[in-house]
Amino acid sequence: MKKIYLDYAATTPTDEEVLNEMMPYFSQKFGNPSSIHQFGQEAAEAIDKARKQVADFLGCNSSEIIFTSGATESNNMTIKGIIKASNIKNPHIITSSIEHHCVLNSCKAVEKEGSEVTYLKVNGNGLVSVKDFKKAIKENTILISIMYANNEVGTIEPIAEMGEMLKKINSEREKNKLPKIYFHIDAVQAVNYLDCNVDNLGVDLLSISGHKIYGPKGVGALYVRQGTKIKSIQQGGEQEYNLRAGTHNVPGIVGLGKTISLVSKNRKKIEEIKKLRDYFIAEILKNIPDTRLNGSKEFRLPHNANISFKGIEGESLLIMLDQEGIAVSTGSACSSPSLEPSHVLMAMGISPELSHSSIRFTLGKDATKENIDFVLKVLVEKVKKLREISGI
Amino acid sequence: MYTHIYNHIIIHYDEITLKGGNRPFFERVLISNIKEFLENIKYDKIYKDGGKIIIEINKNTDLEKTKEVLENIPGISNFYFAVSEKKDLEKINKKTVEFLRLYIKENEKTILRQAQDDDNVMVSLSNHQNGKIKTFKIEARRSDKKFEFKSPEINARVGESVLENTELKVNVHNPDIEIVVDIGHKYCYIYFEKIKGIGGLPVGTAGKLVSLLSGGIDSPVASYMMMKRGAKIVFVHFKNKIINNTGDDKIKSLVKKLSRFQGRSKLYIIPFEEFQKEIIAKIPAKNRMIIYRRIMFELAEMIAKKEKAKGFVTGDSLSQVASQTLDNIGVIYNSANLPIFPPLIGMNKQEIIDLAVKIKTYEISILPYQDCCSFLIAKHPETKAKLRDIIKQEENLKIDEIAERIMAEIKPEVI
Repeated sequence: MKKIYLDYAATTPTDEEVLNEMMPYFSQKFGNPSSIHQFGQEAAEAIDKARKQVADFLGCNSSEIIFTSGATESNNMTIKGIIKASNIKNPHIITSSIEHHCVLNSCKAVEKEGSEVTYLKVNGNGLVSVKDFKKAIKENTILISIMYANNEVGTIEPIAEMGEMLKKINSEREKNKLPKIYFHIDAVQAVNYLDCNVDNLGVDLLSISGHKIYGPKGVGALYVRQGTKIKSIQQGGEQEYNLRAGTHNVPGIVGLGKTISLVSKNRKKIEEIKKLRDYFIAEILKNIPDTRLNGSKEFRLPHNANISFKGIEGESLLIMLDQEGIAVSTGSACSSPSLEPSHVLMAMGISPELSHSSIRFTLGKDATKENIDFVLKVLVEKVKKLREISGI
Repeated sequence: MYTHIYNHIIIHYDEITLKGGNRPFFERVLISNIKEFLENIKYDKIYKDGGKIIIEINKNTDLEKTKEVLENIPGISNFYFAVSEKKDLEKINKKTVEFLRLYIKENEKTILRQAQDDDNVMVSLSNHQNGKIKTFKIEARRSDKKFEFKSPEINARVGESVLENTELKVNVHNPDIEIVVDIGHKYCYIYFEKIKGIGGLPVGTAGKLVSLLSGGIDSPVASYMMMKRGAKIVFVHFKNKIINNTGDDKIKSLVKKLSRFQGRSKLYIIPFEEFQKEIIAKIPAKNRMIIYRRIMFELAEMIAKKEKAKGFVTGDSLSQVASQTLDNIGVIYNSANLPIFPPLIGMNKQEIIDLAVKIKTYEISILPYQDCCSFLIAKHPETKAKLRDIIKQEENLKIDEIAERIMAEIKPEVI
């Protein structure tokens, strides 16, 4: 059976070029970069190179890149580490209601320890309003964490606009001796497609993950602007400027560096992916009755299509498609096996029933019209069948 | 307390004695079960003597372990560690006094040890007083009716000897210690301390049942209850490796704990994810749990046939969860062709938990484990399922093909 993977927002295959770059660091160049001898220094050099590759991509200095185990760790480190370093009694954080669970649950954790958190609402397209963003700021606000692009519906948030505004607010605050507000973005889904220059965006912290961008799993990074007050949340050795204790994942870091250096090369394909995706959405909406596109048409990642099929249960369709070799997703992959309607779709004001009927398709750089046509054909068939047999 | 003065164990059974013509069968099974359980314990002989089972033990018998084993064998109502003597009243008198003295000495040592271990001296002092043996009663029994003395006479003679040779006083209504002088066919047995067994009937006398073991609190308790009624249990566990890749340790240790009651147990683990996928693809979320469970019985029936089991055991308790409403139980149980026994059906959760603690499965049951029944089901599942609707929805399922493929590979593990 032909297998078609349309779940690139969950994870991506590691590029062969990236894999080849990583391979020597498992068995041949296996040194611990914290060791002084040649074995160690060989690995340390590889990490320096990767750090430079990541820094070049983000338009920052190497010393501002902290390697982590992935975006979950980067996001935890940001929220908990900034709070830990602040000397305010009840620090206030602003985030949005459509963040990844690693952000939402970290916020809930610090809330329990006395922090205050504002969860910004989004509109029907999943967009955070810059006005709301400004209004939520309080004297004790020290951190704003917003995702660059949403993992479920692909909505792109107006980060640069927020960053610009926050710059002005922060210079006012400096005059009034109020604490600086740090701006963090979770750029995991954005790296492949959007401008990630930290100065253009006006951000102080930025999380990325290797496996969402054709790199290895288990590695990520956090950009921390020079001068940012942040404390480590994990004790051990002095790796990563004392911020992230633990022996470096050398092959992973090498892979992250390589894969991020290839992002701009892959961007040539974005237009192609976008065209196919637009065709895919248009065909579904045209050929399958009672369907709707969730999220913004305009501010949307080029590979994402999130569709509700009225009267059908998302996971039923998911498994029917899987039986035909087509991999898609309902909600985000990290969610529990139980049936909770997606918090993102619910926050966008979509009813629980319709949320439950949604499927996320995310295309990769291998997408072809032939495959998309095959998926469309199967989809029409399966939706029809499911509507016949389901009682709802 | 368990010194090597003991050379016999006297085992009593209650319900078996009511079995009339079938009684020898039940006794035979009980003896053979005891033999299997004592496999790793050293002893000399086991045999029936009148309405009792006697085990002859020796210096190498691990008494603590033997006690633990016998306490858990269905069919045994109670048992005693005993000393034996020839059936000669003089000798019996002597032996009783000797045994009693030693027992009192051991008992006081134990009390003293407990007192020393205790932080609160006041409390331990009063315990000390309470635990001390001061009064006694002789309780003679004659299995051997040909013995030259009758029970009242034995009582009087042995009692006299105890009075003369120890500091104990007689108290026939509320003695600190009741000394049984039991005239058997082979020997006279002397014993005092009754140890309670779990009673019921020997495992295997009722035949075989297949138990659907989920890994939760209830199903092990239900299995135990049916073992206690003489059923030999074959365990079936359904596992979904998509949500549960933590290995089978938990299920196996539950079965191991339960095998204390029935000896070696068979466990079948059935991979359930493919069945569930087929169900998820075609059945609305609110009905999935019901159909998961109906399919489980269909598959368990294949095991039952192979094992020649005559029914199923479940841990269902009426209306405890959504799948256990009367409507849903009706629809679910309808899929089985063999009878289903849910011994906990009228029990409250706390009563089930108490029993689970008692049989030592509770601490294993509460370990984290993803039960496959909750895989992609609705937050508010159907509570009033209608058989006709469910059967109609099932028409779309292609369970047989999957079952044929998966069940051919299933092999039991003996635990």
